[in-house]
Amino acid sequence: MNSLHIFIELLGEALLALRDNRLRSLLSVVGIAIGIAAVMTVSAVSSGGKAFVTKELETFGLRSVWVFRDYADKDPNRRVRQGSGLVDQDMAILSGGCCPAVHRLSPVTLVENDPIIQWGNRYSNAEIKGVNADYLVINNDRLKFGRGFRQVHINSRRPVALIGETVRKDLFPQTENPLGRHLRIAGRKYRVIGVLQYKSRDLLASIGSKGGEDANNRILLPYTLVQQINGNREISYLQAEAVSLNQAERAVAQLKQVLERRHRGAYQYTQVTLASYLKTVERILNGITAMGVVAASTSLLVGGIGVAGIMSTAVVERVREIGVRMAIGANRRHILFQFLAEAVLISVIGGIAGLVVGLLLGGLLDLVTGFPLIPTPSGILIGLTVSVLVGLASGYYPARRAAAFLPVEALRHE
Amino acid sequence: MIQIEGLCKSYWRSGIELAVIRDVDLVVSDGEFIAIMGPSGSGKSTLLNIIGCLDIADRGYYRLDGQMVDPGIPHHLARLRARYIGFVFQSFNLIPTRSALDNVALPLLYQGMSRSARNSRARNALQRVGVADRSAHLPSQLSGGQQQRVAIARALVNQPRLLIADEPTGALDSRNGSQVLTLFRALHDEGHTLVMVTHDPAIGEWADRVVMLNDGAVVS
Repeated sequence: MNSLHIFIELLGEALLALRDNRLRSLLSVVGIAIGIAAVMTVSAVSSGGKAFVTKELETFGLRSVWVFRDYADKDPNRRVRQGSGLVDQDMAILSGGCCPAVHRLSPVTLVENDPIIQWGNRYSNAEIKGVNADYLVINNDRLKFGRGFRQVHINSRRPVALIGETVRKDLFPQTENPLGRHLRIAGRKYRVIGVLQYKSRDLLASIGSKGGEDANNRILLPYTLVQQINGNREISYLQAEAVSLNQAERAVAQLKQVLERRHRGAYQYTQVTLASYLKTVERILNGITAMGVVAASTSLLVGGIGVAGIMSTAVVERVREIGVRMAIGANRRHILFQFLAEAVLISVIGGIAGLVVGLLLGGLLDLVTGFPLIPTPSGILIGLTVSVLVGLASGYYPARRAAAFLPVEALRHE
Repeated sequence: MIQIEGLCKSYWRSGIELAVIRDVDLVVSDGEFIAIMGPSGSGKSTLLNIIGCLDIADRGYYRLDGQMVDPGIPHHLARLRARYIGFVFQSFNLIPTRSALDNVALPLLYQGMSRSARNSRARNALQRVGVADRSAHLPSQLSGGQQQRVAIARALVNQPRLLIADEPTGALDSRNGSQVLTLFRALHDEGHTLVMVTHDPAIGEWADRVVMLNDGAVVS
């Protein structure tokens, strides 16, 4: 005679009652399912979007910061100067441990005039960047073949090059191993010592960020060599890796402070950090998610109101049955529980159906658009919890009405 | 079994108090079979419902099997109904979407009995009233007499001391009616206490004792 057993049996009674009104139960299940599926999809779109953007930004190294002269600075008190405001000595001082938030630092020197790049009679229009030995790690670049720069390459200006996938395809036939081959850049020979792994930047390329720069159409040289080509000791900009993602701003501040002091305020510097991009993207996505959740929750609310309506109707229709059940031994708690269980069952079945539909929809969208929708375990848990709560909320009032009848009144009901 | 003293019940209709039960005293001993009779509106159904703990009185004392019935505690009334009382209604009141067996087994669910125990007791009860072969049928697939016998099986299944019947033959033809009454006599012979409401003197004759009610008061 334990009461837990009675409540388990009443769950069965609730299921039978739902079966007796199959169409009606199905319709209210659909209402909840749509709501839960909508909430699921919105949250999956949001987390998928974040993962997508993060993945693309990772191709620059998430902890990357760029520091360069602020060419837009029009301060009339500043003596107007030529050049990038960054030279070799800056690099030497900045790498000397003055910036604790900076983990790695590389100068980047661009070639001032577009040189001719060729191998035999094949040509490339690649962008040339002069960097140091740390650059690959900072920029999250990996090598498909060969090796990266070593310090000795940089210090003694060895004519060696790392090439991107597009460069390899442009210059070398499929069967040719580019390692050890000598490219000709502006009339000078460089030995290829490594091929960079292909980088995908579909989103960033499609929105034309970074001026449509093709990450795979790059040639990396020791920056000391690029300075030689340019005929000066300038550095175009600095790319550094902060010790952590949330130290990015501090790393920038430290670098800028040292530079401004060294150049005695002759130049103003500015920066780009991926951390701030990431924050912006997150803010936008959170905004979109919030709107989506509001819209999806509205449909869930409508579903819940539907269940409440169905349950109210069920109570009115079954007043006599309630009276009979009371006469043969049910107490108010039993009646309350049965009707509450009907509402919760509808919402939980709807919730599970909604989760399944949401997952299928997400998978389909992923297949069609390549946009990953990531259903999170916590999202699934929240979906189920919410459906239980919706059931309880929408079933409570009708169930209480059912339980409040005096048996004799319920039995008299036509 | 039943001791009632000074029981009163009235309804309020558009501001006017209508007394339905006026100061009723009634004692029903263990194993007695009584019929409550009277013209319609005499309050006999209300009295029966109060005895059956389906309704509550405004004033007066009611002891069931020596226990004070407290009209203020719905849970207490529910427990008394579940433990002591079996109901037979004029309109059978079977749940239309459930088989005869499920209908009969239902009261035992609220006692926390396991499914197999419920079903075996329900089968015995159906056997007892002679409709064991109809256990899988829905109420709509049964005749009125069969439905009422299923309802009696449901009333008996938790072995109540007291059976309450409100016009149990009202919806039946005379042949089925007398079958039901024969069954009542047999249950009475087995020691059940029966309280039946009827307006028909011929049916009242089946009881040991008739309580006549008129305008809410006992007249004999």
